[in-house]
Amino acid sequence: SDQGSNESDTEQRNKALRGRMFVVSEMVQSEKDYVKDLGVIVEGFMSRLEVRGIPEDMRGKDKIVFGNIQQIYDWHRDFFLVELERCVQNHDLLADLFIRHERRLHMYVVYCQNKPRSEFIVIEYETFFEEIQNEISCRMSISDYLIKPIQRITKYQLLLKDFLKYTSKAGLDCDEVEKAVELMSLVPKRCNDMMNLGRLQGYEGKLSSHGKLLQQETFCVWEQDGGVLSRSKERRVFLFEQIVIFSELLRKGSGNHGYQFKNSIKVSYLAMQDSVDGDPCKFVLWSRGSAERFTLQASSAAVKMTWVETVAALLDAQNNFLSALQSPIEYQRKEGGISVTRPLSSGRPPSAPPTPNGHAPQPPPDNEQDDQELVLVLQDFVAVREDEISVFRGEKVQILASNQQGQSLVYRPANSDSPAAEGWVPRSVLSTH
Amino acid sequence: MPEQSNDYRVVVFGAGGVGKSSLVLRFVKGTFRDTYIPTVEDTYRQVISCDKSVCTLQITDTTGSHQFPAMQRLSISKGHAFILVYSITSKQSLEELKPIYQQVLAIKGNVEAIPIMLVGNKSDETQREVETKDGEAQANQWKCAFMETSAKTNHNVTELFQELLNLDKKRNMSLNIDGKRSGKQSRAERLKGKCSVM
Repeated sequence: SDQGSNESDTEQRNKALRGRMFVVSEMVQSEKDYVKDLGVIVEGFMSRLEVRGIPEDMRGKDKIVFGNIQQIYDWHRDFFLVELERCVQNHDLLADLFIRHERRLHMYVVYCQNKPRSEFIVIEYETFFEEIQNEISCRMSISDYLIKPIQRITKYQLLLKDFLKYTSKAGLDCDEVEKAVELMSLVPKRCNDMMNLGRLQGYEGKLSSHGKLLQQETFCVWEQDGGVLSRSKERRVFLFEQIVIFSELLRKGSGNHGYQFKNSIKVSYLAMQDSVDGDPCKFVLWSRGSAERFTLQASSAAVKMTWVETVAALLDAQNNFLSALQSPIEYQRKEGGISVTRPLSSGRPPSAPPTPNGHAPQPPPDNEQDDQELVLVLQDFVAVREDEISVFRGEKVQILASNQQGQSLVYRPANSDSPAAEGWVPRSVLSTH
Repeated sequence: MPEQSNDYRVVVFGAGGVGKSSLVLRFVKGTFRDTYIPTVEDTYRQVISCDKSVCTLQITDTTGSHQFPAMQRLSISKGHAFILVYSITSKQSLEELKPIYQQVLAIKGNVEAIPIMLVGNKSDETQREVETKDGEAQANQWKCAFMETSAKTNHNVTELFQELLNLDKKRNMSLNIDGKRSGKQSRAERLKGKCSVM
């Protein structure tokens, strides 16, 4: 019977190895289909639009319709598909391929951030795009294609999970595959978060300048100002590294789904009480020095735990930072460096441009002057990296800092198309001289 | 949002492993694969008849976007009809449909005018966790239709899609281009399916 079980072991392993092969070939085949679909947008719709000329009233909006899809297309066609095809010969290359290019896939976060605006314009010019669809004799509408990147970015993690399952059954090392699964689950999560944030209305500040979005959840919230306790209200709460935002869910009819800004607490003033009335789902947040208290009730004890832990870690990091400021030598001795611990941000700090807590290649010029003049954007620029923003010709921005790589950190005030944003752009697109 | 003239969009939701892809594949291609079921297939197209002319039934499989509600919202806002799939072998999979139903409700407003089918798949399995009456009760509460299916044995698969189209009162749709239903044929297939289990 020993031999029997050995045989069935071998059989099991072979079956698992075949499973890996199936996943890799599905990955490649579906990637080919995906590249073909992206091609319909770029070489079909976009090219046709160029030939026809953009209608007067649509000028500038065409960029929003397509976002950075050209860049996504080029990368998948010229690079990623080729690399995936190499994995057919050697399945062990697959996980590493995703790990190495996770950062590149941030272009999907950019795409998703733009998607709600794109959708809006596509609906506005629906008849126009239907005409183009007919002219290029395409079976599906433009919006069927524009949704493809969003569908695709959720599939890699699924396929990698299958790949992990077979890898484990085959008795092979799973570490790399597990890491790839984790990273490829994070990318669509960030995309999802960005799409949600694109729907926050009425917030005057700069969303992109509050650090990473760490958590977002719907809670039942009681507001207490002095002695008066309000009725509970449903609130979508966004927890950034530097601010907590409370918003109301808007459900105006169909399709129009968004959030209306209500309150915020700066993390630098944030205080928390992690239990109330022995309720495992409740906790309290407030701004130090204010009488207003927010009691949050989560849908489950697990959600509450996650939030309490996240907030506690943020407050800890802040305390560490404060003690570092107050007695830097003591702090350095303890920590062996002056980098601020950011336990919850999974990303790396941006590499080229200076960051507030990184080492700037040169001191940022005069950003003390708050009333600095706005400069004109001379040329469209579509953001590629996470820390960049898209700007369009004719917009006005404020330069906050510049670096030696020829980039400027700019603040673009809110306009009718988009909320305010802060990020890096090439100095060459600005009228600085 | 203006209606697309020649497309009818059906969106299929459900937790991982309940057999969404298998159901759709069985319907569109008439096959069932036991060895390897592909994970990724977004959109299937099938020509049907609608108000005495031909239109395209477009089925979107949402596999993968399950944990990403903002992304899922895009599929919901574009959908005309919805199939919510759970597995009769998993109570959890029925639970996981609740937030999705809530989201459809939130985006579509009044769900009574929208064809929604709650589907208990894997009816061929013997390790049942969700009784038929529990599925029916949930459907009643949601004011939607209900059916148990098996993609494996091809039980109720064509019926599911035809019933869903029948639920749409604004259009007169049929899976067959000549407008007649082939009840006989699908019954025969069902019998064949049952035999193959033996």
